[in-house]
Amino acid sequence: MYSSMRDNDEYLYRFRAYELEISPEEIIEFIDKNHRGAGKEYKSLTRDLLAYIPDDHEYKGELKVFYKLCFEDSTSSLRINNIDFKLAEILYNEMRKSEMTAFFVCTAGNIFSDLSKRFTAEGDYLKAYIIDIAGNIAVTATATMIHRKITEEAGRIGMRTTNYYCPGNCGWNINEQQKVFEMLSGHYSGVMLSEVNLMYPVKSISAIVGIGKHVSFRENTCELCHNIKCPYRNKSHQEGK
Amino acid sequence: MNDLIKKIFKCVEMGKINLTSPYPPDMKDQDGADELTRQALDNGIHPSDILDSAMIPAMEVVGNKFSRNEIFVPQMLMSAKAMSAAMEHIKPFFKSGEAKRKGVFIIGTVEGDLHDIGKNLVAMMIEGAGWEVIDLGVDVKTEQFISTINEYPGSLIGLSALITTTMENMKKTVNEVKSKYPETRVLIGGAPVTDDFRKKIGASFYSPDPQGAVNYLNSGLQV
Repeated sequence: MYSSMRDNDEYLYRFRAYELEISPEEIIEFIDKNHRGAGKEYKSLTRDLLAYIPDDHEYKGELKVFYKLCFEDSTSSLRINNIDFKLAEILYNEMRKSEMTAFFVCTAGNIFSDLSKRFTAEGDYLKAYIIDIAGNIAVTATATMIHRKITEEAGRIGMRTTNYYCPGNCGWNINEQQKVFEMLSGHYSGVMLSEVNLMYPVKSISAIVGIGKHVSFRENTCELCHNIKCPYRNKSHQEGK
Repeated sequence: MNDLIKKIFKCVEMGKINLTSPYPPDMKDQDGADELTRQALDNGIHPSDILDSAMIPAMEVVGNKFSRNEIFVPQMLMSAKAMSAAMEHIKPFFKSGEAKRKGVFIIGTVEGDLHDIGKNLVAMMIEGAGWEVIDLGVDVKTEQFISTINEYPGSLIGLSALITTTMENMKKTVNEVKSKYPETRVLIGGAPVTDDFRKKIGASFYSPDPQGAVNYLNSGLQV
């Protein structure tokens, strides 16, 4: 385990399902929460579906740390290594007290989407739906674990972290995802980004984390935002994308 | 109403696919939409009666329950699957002309976008409402939509997108379809899509849920 964070430090993470605690119960709980109890009916089906995912399937991600930050209040932008991030005001305010930032990309791989496609082709849309949700939960758990690791590391040098924020959320334009990938300079854990900012494998997340003595973590990031039409409202850190 | 028709209605509404299906638990070990539709046809019930008195109204109930948040995606998917099981028995009668569909609806997720759950839901609900659905899948290029319209003159189009950047491709598809086939109705939907966006790109209709699309198609397209 590394003991300090230096500028341009890169970290590679690999997890197994047991470390991420992805279980049928969690998927059922997610469906229940979003569909008022509908998940319990499909408990045994969910168990059967998770058996398709090998125990040794890898959930992976790569993260890079940057020290030299230049904040521009008038434009709510953050410049790092000559790349300008146009953060929306909400996100800019969250990041403003950061002394360093971390960018990461992580993925649950293709297995969930491949299974979902297979079930769809077989006309079994319920199975396709449940395994798709499982993929969302898996990649979100991977991102949460990476965030936990970087928070622990920041704690060792007396710093805290913000939440992780993804392009496309909190008013941050999804086109900025290209810049997130640029920051990671080729270390994408096999994730590819299309021209329209769709990541392959689909069950992937890219994000920024602010690190500093005076930044704060929020239990609910939707409280920051006034966009009541946002499709990800109250779900952004539960569903992945 | 015939007892078999009532039972098929209930199976589609509740998502009881066939005898072996364990869902819903309170209908376990009972015949499902699959067996009952076969029995209804064997008993001389006209396929159009099965469609018009059981399958289509049952799916309408399902769609309305979904719009009112009384049921959710998993239950809707089970109902759609039960409807599909019944539809397999009805399909030969479309070919023979003994049963008729309301029209052709071409649907796909726009170029660059691979998300399909919402699109599938809409496709199933529209099929359940008595339309022939041509599902082009995901990442569908404008040219594919246009060539399919060529193949099915008078058809309607449904476009789905889940991310804001692929909404731009929706705009491109709407523009090209409308320039080649100005009379073609184009419905749009997907999590980030709004009615304001629909107006901006000149699409015909936007619905936040599948039943809205069904109602639009069934309304004689007056909206």
